[in-house]
Amino acid sequence: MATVTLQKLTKVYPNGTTAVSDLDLEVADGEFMVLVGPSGCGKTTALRMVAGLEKITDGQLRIQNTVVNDLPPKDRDIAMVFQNYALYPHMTVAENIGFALKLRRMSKQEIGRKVEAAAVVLGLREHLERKPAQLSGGQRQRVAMGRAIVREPAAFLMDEPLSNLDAKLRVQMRAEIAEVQRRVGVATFYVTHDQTEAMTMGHRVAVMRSGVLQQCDKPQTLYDDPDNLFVAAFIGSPSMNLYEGTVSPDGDGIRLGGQTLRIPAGVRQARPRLGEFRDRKVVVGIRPDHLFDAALQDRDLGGATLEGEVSLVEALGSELMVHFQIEGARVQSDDAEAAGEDVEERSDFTSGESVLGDQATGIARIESSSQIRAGATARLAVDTERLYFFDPASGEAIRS
Amino acid sequence: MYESPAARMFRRVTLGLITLFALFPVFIILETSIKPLKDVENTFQWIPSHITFSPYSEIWSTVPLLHYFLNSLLVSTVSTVIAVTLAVFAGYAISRFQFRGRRAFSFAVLSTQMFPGILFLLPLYLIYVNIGRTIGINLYGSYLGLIITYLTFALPFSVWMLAGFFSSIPRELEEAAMVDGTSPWGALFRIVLPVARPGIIAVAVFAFMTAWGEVLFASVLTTESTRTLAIGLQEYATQGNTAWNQLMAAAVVVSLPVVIVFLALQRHLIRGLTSGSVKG
Amino acid sequence: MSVLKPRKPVTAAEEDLSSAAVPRRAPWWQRPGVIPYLLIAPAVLFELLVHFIPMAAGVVMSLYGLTLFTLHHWSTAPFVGLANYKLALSIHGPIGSALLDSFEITVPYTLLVVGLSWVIGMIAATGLNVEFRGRGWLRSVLLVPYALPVYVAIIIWSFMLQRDNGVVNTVLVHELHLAHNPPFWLLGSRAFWSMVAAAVWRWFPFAFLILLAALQNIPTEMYEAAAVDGASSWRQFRSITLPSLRSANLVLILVLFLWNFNDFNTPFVLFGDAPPSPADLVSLHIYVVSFESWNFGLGSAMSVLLMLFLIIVSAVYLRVLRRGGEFDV
Repeated sequence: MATVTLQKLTKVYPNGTTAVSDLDLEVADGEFMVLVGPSGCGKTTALRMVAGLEKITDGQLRIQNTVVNDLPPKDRDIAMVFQNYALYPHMTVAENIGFALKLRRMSKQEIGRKVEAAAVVLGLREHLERKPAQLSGGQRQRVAMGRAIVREPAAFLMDEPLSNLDAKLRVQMRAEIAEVQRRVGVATFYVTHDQTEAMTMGHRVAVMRSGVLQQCDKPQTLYDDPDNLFVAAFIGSPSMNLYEGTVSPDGDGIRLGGQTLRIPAGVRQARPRLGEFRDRKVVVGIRPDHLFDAALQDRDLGGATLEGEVSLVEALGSELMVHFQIEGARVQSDDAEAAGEDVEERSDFTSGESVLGDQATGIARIESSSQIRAGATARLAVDTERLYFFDPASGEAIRS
Repeated sequence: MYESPAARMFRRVTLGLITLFALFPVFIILETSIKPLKDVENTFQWIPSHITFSPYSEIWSTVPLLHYFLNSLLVSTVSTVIAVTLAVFAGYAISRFQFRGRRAFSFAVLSTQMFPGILFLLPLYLIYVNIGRTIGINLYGSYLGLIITYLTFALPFSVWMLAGFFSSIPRELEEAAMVDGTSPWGALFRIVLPVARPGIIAVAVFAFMTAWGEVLFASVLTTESTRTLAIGLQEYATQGNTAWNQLMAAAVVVSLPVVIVFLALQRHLIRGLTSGSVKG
Repeated sequence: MSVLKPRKPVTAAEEDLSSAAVPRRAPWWQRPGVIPYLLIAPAVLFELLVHFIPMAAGVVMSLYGLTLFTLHHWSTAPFVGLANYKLALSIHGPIGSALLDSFEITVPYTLLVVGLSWVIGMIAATGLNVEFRGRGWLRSVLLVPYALPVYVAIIIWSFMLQRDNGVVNTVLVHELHLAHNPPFWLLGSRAFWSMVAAAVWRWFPFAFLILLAALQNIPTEMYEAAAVDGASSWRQFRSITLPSLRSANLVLILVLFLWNFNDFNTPFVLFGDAPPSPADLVSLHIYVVSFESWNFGLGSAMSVLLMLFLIIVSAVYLRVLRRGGEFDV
């Protein structure tokens, strides 16, 4: 029953690298907080500082109202689920789950009852007497969860708990963990590099990059209203298409290479600052969901289309993923590339560096009835009301 | 794995020869131990004139073998227990902690393998004698002195092997234990040690064998009452006419415990060595 | 069943209480900075007592005239500087030339034992790295010589090599008729070869054990890939096995070299403290010099020289062969 508060939490390793700097976060009681970012962004270090496995260099960590900076892990009243589960191989499932209770000198009957209850919740009752080596990946995952929930701790810490599972199981466990957390109602800190997990599980999501918190908000807010280029590129799958363009002198259009997109009046009024970018470069973002096959649209598309060379069409049955290239609009920002480093789907960003020269790649999620084919030129309709704009110098979103 | 016929032939022939080389002396020792005395006093003969187990009963009276056996057992067991305990601690420190002096410590431990035993035998003898004379703790000629010596001999190898073994255990296990509520010491005793049991057993076997088979220091640091098998066995040979059948029977008796344990645990030994040599 | 229930909210009073709680720091013996030193302390203590202090004492002793006359009043032993070293190194004097002779026997002895043990161990390990029936049994058999106590291993050879009732002479003289007079194996120049045979028999299983462990770390896919590429068994051995065993071999050969160069057991058990001169290995030689004449100062000087030699050889060996490859503990 507690709030976990991180105040200017900083970790500097003895060799001088700063893994986390000035991290401010507060996880309310019962809240599911996801810490997400590419590998090496400091999210795991942050979690380990909360657990007490990593010494805090600077700042303050409070669980409820107690400063716990110098407390050893055992006195922090937290439970943790590790990436590789860290099940004790010499103990049975029941012993694994009950170990923490045994350490707290709880009576045998009491431990038995709690282990049993946890096993029911997690569907592990038939496996209680097995050793971890005899379990499947999903079952091990559940044991690790069981070990955490019997504790009834002040907070759960989870470090990429799903990354060792195959894709299908991951989707299933995602729902199970979220459900268990909801029932137990304990403040939860969940670390992942997978933005889908972050979006689907978190009450709030904190996006980190290079040890610095970028934005912390509800998943939908991160998606709709990212603070900066990095968050925009990181959240959403397939990720946002980003192009560098020049705002026209009168401010009502944006030039991407040889093509021009019209900026609707409503969009301009909502963002007066866009006026400052007349005749200047700006980064424009288009979600793949906001692109359509122009041939299937019957409305007036004047100034709201983009033409691109189609390099690949992936048919997913319900829809098509159209990979295309636009001349002369590649983003020169490493923010977007940093966001894409880990995720295969985003590899287009990085591959653009060497091979594609000035060509910008993009993905559109299109109705499956579309006739767009690889090798041809496609005309894509753009939902210009939902464009995103970023300052290329700072990476900040232009929202006002 | 595919093997050409020539390679297979080579493998079979060489393995056969090596097996013969390894086993022949073992055959001799077993065979001789069940021969009557007259068979071993004259020209060697393959077939015993008759099979007798009397050497196995005579060995105990010819030489106080039981006494030596118990001495060896006491010294080897105690030194093994202490050596393994200390090696567990030191190996754990090397594998899990970054601390000032870590490299120096590991290097120093390994460098002892370079010392000729003879170099520190003489000073150790003098030091033990002098400790006895000044402090009154009798190390020369006592069990204690021999135990201290042997446990130290076993330490370097044990530390090195256990450090490798511990490094193969994921660190998250201890972290999970500490989050679950143990102190760092609790994590070591409740989690790491049980998990490292095969490695610990392997190290214990090696430590025991080291002590059980040591000759040089036993020849100097023991007296009549603390004499171990390594020295005691030679008494069969030094009494003018060697009763080879008894000597071989005694050899079988003193070897049996270590050979059985060693062979029973050889899988652990290979695993222990593997993880030790991969990463330390 | 409380796992399932949402936790009850905390009252204001409880909240105040917890904020007032003074967090305990871990006691000193549980701090990460202290633990490693506590862990190594006992090992350091014993290493100092049995290895390092005696070694230092040995170096000091080598500078004193510590003989039978001064031994019991060792503090009165005269400081003689490097006189013991001069004595040990003067190759024209009786003591120096005897030491040199002993050294000249120890070098080929060590090279032969290490080389043969390695070759036999290597052949056995590669031979056993293939699946076949009885493999586990054969592995045990080949380890038996190493499992025996050293002195037992050598006593067997001592018996087999007896002139009148040993099996070797029976085979050579009475069965193969290769010799008329049964030769002495434990006297004269043959004693050297007897020693080598006994030592190889005892040590090849150790090489076998280490190499077998190392071989099992080589992924089978590498051999399969090589076989698909058309590599012969010999080619596979040269291009995959040997390079993969490099670090294991590096340690194994060094350790075998050091142990055998310092070997005391083999000559001592075979010959006692009066070895025939072709079997007078350095360790035993120093032992005899020290305890026969009770000249501990001289014995220490010789031991220090032996150690210096081993340190130099090891350093050169590691420097030449290590090149980039890290292998500390």
